[in-house]
Amino acid sequence: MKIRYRIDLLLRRTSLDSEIHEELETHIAMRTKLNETSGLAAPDAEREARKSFGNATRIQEDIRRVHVGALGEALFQDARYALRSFVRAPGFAFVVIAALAIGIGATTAVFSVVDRILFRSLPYANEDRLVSIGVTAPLDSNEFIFAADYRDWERANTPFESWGSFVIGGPAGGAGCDLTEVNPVRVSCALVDPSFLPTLGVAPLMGRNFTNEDDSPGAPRVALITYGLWQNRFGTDPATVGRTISIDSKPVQVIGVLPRDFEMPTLTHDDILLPVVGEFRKRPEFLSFFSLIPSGACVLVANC
Amino acid sequence: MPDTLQGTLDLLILKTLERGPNHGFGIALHIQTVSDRSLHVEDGSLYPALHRLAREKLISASWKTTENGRRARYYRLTSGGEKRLAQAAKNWTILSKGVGRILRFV
Repeated sequence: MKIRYRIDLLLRRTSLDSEIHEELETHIAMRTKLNETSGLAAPDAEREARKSFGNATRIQEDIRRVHVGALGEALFQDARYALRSFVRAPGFAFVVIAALAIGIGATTAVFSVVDRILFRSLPYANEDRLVSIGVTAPLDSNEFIFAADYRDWERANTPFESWGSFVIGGPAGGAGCDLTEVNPVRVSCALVDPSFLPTLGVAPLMGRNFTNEDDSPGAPRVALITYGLWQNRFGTDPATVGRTISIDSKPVQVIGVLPRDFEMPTLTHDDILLPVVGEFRKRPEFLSFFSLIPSGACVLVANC
Repeated sequence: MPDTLQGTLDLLILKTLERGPNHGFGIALHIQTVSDRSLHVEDGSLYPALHRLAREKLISASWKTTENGRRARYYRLTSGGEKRLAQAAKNWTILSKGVGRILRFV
């Protein structure tokens, strides 16, 4: 069957129906005319014509089945022919299937990575004004700064509206820490500034963010937990906020829960955020530094 | 032996079209007149057969205007249809001869 005919049939289904209808009606009209010439009155002539024609609706359906049935049969034959040629040439079939599989697989894999990194905007409210600042070195594929610089920048007058940082590979930063409770479990803790979440534009789902008091030496230990941990470990219990849990055998109070879609800028899913308590700044550490350029300012101005 | 009754209707249509292109009504009228109304075929039952024969390329169809200025779908025998007609007519003769012999056997 010619491909053109098949496409025609799919596209012009209604026109096929109307053609069939016209053909049958023409027949009835011709029969009516003949009945009239043989002496029947007009209404009787048409009634007789329809009676001798039979069930027009059923006949129209039968005709359509002739065409549609032929279409289905042709598709089935094509599929069978394709399968048989594959059996006859298994090497060719293998190459075709492998090429398709690798092509589709690679495209899907690349897209699912590229989509997050390149196409989708950052999952932060301030994503259009957010910049990452630091030096690059073979040490880390992301920019980083030294804690000593951070201390200097805090005192200096910078053009930034706000800034925050988290610790890369600190004592607990991004690394393992232990939830030492009834069923101890190893989780991942990140150390962040009190200004880290506001700079990104993230507000806790419940509870509050860290304050400068939380981030000073000797302050009571507090933590923010992610939605995932809240769900899995604490069964989405609203009373979790305010509870004291044990992290690395030290009592820590949960002060809030992060939004469900929260991600660290490194796209990792840490379970717990802890404030970078002041004493850490005495030691050289690497920080990932984020700042918010004032709205309307370009990145170049921020560089000046 | 394929469906004899359906084959018979096909044979009647092909034979009628051997005389020249005609529309469905003309074919029906011819069959009824020539058979002296001994074959009671509903007019409508002709059309599924016509479309099937057209799909099998034994006849071709095209819209034309009749002498009375009406648009009608005309069917014409193709060369494939001529061959099929010759074969079907031969089969029918053999069949009717055979049936006739059995009926006459006492």
